Amino acid sequence: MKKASPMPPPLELPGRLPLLRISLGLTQKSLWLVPRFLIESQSIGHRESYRRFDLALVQAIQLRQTLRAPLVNAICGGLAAFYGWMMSRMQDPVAWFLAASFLAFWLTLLALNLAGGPTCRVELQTALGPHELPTLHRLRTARHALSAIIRRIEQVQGEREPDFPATLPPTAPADP
Amino acid sequence: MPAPHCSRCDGPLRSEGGGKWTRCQRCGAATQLWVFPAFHAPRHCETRVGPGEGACFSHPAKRAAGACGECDRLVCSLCRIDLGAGCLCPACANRAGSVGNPGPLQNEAVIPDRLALILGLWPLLLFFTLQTVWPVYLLTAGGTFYVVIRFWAAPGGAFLPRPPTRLIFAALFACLQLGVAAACAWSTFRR
Repeated sequence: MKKASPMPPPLELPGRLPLLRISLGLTQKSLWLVPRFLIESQSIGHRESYRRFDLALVQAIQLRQTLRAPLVNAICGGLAAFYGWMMSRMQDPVAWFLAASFLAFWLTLLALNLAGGPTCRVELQTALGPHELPTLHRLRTARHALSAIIRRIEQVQGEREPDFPATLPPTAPADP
Repeated sequence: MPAPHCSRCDGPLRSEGGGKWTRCQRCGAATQLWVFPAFHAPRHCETRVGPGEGACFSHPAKRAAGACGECDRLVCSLCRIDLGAGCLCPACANRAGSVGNPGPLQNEAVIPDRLALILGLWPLLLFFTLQTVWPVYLLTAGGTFYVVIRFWAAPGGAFLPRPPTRLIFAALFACLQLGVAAACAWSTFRR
């Protein structure tokens, strides 16, 4: 008698909320792949709530590159430059130390943001409408997680559409 | 034929296939798009109930498409929540997803490892408030140890698996709480 293949265990996908959203809302979200669903779990304190997306009903996934990363880089870089300039003008050692601390803070944020890479927004389209997946806000993480999600959706639904819609004029693909 | 829309400007998008980069024709946003067969699946068409046919409990004008596996109420295709083998009505599905009722429809849960971490860490962070009422540390450390031991096998709850990392940290914090309680007791009884 053929033995039934065991159900794959839930798989936690990479990605977490942006640091600012975690610290402001004291909340955390994560994405999980289970056999029939993509689950978005949101935890506040010691409680967790789940939102399920049936993989058989996912119509489309859209990934759009956003300008958040260069914007944050510009803000952090600008503030770091300002505190660097302040530091060069300070005579009082206490004030110099304060300016150096702020410079180090903004430089750390800048380094973290540069290390994170470009940002994006991922939306899952179902019959109910689009739903943003906020944990996938970095392009590198999103690509990694989406490859697993798309593979699982294709297992459930079959191969995705090769080219859609054919009636629209083609656009020049631009790889940013 | 409906087309996917840009998430920024709502303009029509074209998929280049295989998730290649493309630009929205209206706003120029760099976008990757994957379209799946469910996009073209026919939408559910509700049918009016005819003479001699069963009607939905919540929508008396709609034809029943099944019966709830829990309460046996007839449900239409809009109310029907498929579970693979059977189906549920929205009320039973809502009950099935409540806290303390683990199963495929669970939509809320208490996470033991986070609870243990809160019990272990917060009293230490509130040291300057709690040092005068130091026996509180004995209670919170005991509570932390109870949660750690009770939920060691399933630190993330019964639904999603998680490593016991938080439980280990919670146990360490609980040990620290006992140390703080001992130090406070010693300084109190020494006077």
